[in-house]
Amino acid sequence: MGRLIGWQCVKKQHQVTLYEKASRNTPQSAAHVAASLLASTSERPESDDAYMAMARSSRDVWRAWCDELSVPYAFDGTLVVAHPVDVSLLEKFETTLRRHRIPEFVKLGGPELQEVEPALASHFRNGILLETEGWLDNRALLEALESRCGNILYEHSVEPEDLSADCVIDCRGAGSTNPEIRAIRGEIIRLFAPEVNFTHPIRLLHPKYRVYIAPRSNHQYVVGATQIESSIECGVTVQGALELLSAAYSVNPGFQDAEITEIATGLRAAFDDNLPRVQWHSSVLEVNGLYRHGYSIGPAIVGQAMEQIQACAN
Amino acid sequence: MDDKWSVYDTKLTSRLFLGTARYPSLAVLQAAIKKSGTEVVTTSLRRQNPSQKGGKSFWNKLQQLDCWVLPNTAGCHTANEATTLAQMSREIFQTDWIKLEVTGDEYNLQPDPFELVVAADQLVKLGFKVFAYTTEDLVLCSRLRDVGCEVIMPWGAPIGTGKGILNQYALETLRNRLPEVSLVLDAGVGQPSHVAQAMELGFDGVLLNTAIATADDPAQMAEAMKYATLAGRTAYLAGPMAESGTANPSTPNVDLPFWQNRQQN
Repeated sequence: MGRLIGWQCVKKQHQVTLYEKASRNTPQSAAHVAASLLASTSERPESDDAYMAMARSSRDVWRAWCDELSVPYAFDGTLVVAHPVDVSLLEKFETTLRRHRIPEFVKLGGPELQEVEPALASHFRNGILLETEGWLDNRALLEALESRCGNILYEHSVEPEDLSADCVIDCRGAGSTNPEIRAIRGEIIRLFAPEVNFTHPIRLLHPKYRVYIAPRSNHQYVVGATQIESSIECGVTVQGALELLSAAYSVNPGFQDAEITEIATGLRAAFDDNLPRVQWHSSVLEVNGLYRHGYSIGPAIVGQAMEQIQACAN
Repeated sequence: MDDKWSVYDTKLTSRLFLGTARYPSLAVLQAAIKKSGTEVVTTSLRRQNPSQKGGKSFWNKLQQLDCWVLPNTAGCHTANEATTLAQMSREIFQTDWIKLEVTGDEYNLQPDPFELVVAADQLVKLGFKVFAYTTEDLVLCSRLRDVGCEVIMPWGAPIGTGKGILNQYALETLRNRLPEVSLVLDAGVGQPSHVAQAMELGFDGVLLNTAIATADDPAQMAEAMKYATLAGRTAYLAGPMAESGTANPSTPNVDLPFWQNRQQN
């Protein structure tokens, strides 16, 4: 979030200094760890209309930004599936979408499912394609922003109140000192799976886990993400890894030969309602609480922040 | 209706206990708790790095809810594991209450009866007030009572299935055979009618989570569960009519000669 706002500020001819707690070589932000799914629809059952509006308005902005920054992305839809034994979860998901009058989905039977995503294990007989969803390559995005978002001072842990500037923006996420913010740990695993050819993000509905597989170019995948009410940024637990890997394997047995290229945890920041805030605390603009929706609604929040920053600058 | 009850000497008004997992947000959880009227919420600690107080901000939020917090040992597979976690939870929440869960089968989260009794025995000896989550087996529940569990929480069906009460006979038997124990139906509830059914059987309370947390409107469902609890409990106290194998007219058929009335019977 800090880099995106910095980038937009630089484009408005502002002088930007970005204070980054982590070192350049060991990034710690949720933005770095995330799978960066652009999920306008699939999060609806656990969010609200405000979220949907922000996610929808963010889609076109991401297209423009990714094109401008040459960041790989796709909006080919997300495939939501459940194992036959859990098919009631898929039915419930569909009922919820209908209840919220969300038209952007297509029900798929076995043959259609295999046509849309041939790499899916053959035991899946039903699925839902969320047509307007997508993903972007967050690592490519962060790299592209590195030289565009102002002067980054790494390994600088500062309190926003101590800084002197026309406008100070606090985007510290889970590192915030705001007592209303709490941290939620997520664990992801990155895989290189030459035998797997998914072209869509896959969301697996499961009674116990919340699992997705986000494709990247060249058979790279991000499998995520656990959600644990904990602020401890320790390594991935065996249980978390087992959950993610067994879910991936069940969706395509080709993952058994995949190479684990990275295993990481990140802390997401959330307010009680899991909705973000763009709000002033005396002279500091706080932009925080994006929960697990940082990428899906990022542009909408950047837009809100920029309105405040422009007003401040004027 | 003044129908207070108590668990381990703590007086309660509500007979509905709530879990705190799988809600869309903390705010929705808070709204559901308020609508349900519950006074007891349970929470799992195991994956939150309790030794490092990893879930502190979440736990603080729970403690601000004006409810009794009932920590649980969900995810533990052995008696020793459960005992260790219970000791951490006592330190964190400053409570002797512990909802004891020891999983024996990961697929349907069925309690391990053998480890459960060992753990319950250990915990009672350590001064804990144990709420034991168990299957509906009479002998197992009797053993849990024998080692000192005053609250026993048999399942209606496996956790999260929403199938309701699968073995009513066994639950009725438990009620009849263990009258001194507080019985709280735990797990398997999907609909308010399941809650009412348990309360009509004479259960002292019901604990549920998924049925509320995954409803489209959790707060509204919480309210429905509150009324179902009240309806079932009130019906139990009112003493339901006896079932009959044949129809009985509510009013005598005075327009029929008595011998025809007799034929109908």
